[in-house]
Amino acid sequence: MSPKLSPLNQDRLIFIVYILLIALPSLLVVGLPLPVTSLAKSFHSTIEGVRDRGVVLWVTDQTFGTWVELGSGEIAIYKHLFSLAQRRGIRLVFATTYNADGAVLSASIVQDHIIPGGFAKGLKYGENWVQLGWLPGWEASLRGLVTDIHKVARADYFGTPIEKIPMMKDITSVKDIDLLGHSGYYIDEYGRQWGGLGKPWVVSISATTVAMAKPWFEKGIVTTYLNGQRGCAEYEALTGYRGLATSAMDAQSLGHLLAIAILIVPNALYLARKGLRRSNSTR
Amino acid sequence: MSEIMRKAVVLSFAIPALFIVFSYYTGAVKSEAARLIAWPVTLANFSIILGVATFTRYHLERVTKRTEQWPFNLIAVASFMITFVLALVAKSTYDYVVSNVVIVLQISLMSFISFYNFTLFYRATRVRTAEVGLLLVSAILVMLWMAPVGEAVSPAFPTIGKWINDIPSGGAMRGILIGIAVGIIGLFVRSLIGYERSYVGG
Repeated sequence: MSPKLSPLNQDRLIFIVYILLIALPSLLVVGLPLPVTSLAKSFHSTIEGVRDRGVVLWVTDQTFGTWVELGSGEIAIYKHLFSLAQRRGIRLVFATTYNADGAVLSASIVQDHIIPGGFAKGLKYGENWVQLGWLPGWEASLRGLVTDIHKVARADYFGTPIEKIPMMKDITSVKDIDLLGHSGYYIDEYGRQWGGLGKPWVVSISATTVAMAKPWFEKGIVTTYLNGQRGCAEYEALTGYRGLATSAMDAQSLGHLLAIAILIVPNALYLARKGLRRSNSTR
Repeated sequence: MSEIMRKAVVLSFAIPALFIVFSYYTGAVKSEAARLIAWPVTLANFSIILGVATFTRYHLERVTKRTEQWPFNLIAVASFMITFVLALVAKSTYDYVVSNVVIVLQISLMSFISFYNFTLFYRATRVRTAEVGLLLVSAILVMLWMAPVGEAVSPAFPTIGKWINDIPSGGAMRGILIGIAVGIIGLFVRSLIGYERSYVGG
């Protein structure tokens, strides 16, 4: 009779197999093909479709938690937006409304990826992009950003009064904005405040809550969305700014296969035992 | 709180709310409505001060009373104070701490969830009824849709997974969304006519 594993050791075994499986792609690139969905293509083309010198309001409402899933895609989005600012003079307004994490992450993207990567070359802070930082209040701030930015954001992330920022002189409300976008875990709050404004609105949303995006998308309120880490990987493929989301796809595939195996095998054994017990009792 | 005070508080909420609704539907007094919308942002700033005060008081009380595991309370307060001071006097050090300590710790903590998910899959999902079986099959198909491996195995998996997400799951989400919207309208109307007074202890 084989020794039975204790529950603690069963957990340990699962954890070890899981760690090994998700570590495997870093040693051995499987490189499973990743078809780009129409949603990701539409996300890319909507951003590309912003008119020259147009204004994009991007709200980074991510927490450090969602960053694991959506962070890499967010970096690709920033790179794409900044490259448009370089090529076509598009002006970028970054803000955060959910909690302070988003403002820190937004600033770190610019500091660690945009400036060192040369995406801000030829651009000037305050003329081509502005970081408003965290505007506490979430839904109230979201509404304020489209009704009167100057009333909800008195100063930017660095403490400069908003009236002293040159590009903000002619950006006051949604009438001056050409594209709305946000990334994070939630969507309903944004739909309530941004729905019906008649502006394209793109979302990078966690796979956990992506089903919530569906009703907004079906009604045309949300123009398009990126579906979690997979959507981010597709977007990285479209923009050419490949990052962690792309490399995480193999790990995600193997992790999901393990999850499926953990769901199927114990259940198959459970059902087999149940069937055996039933047939024994009828004998 | 006296009944008169409660009514006064309810009215003080109702009047600005009605003003914003009036501006939204008529397009009039937009600037004044925008100013009113900015109020909650200011209030939210004050709530942060309140949060900091409550946090500090709670932990310091536990430290001074030497309650169980008080050193952790001390670490919490000290960490907050150090980060707060760094943010004010040494921005580059603060950025370093946030990037290399706070973000890393938070991400590590979140990553633990995936381990617990696997334990949950193993322990809590037994097909005891047909409904559980259906849920399990749906979960597997959605996972095969989300991960590239699904399409590599069979092109049918993404189609089925997407159908589950779009039709049954999407329909349920629509229902939830409509329910929430009706609930919000109901709450708003109740607040306006003074029936909803739980927030003033009524």
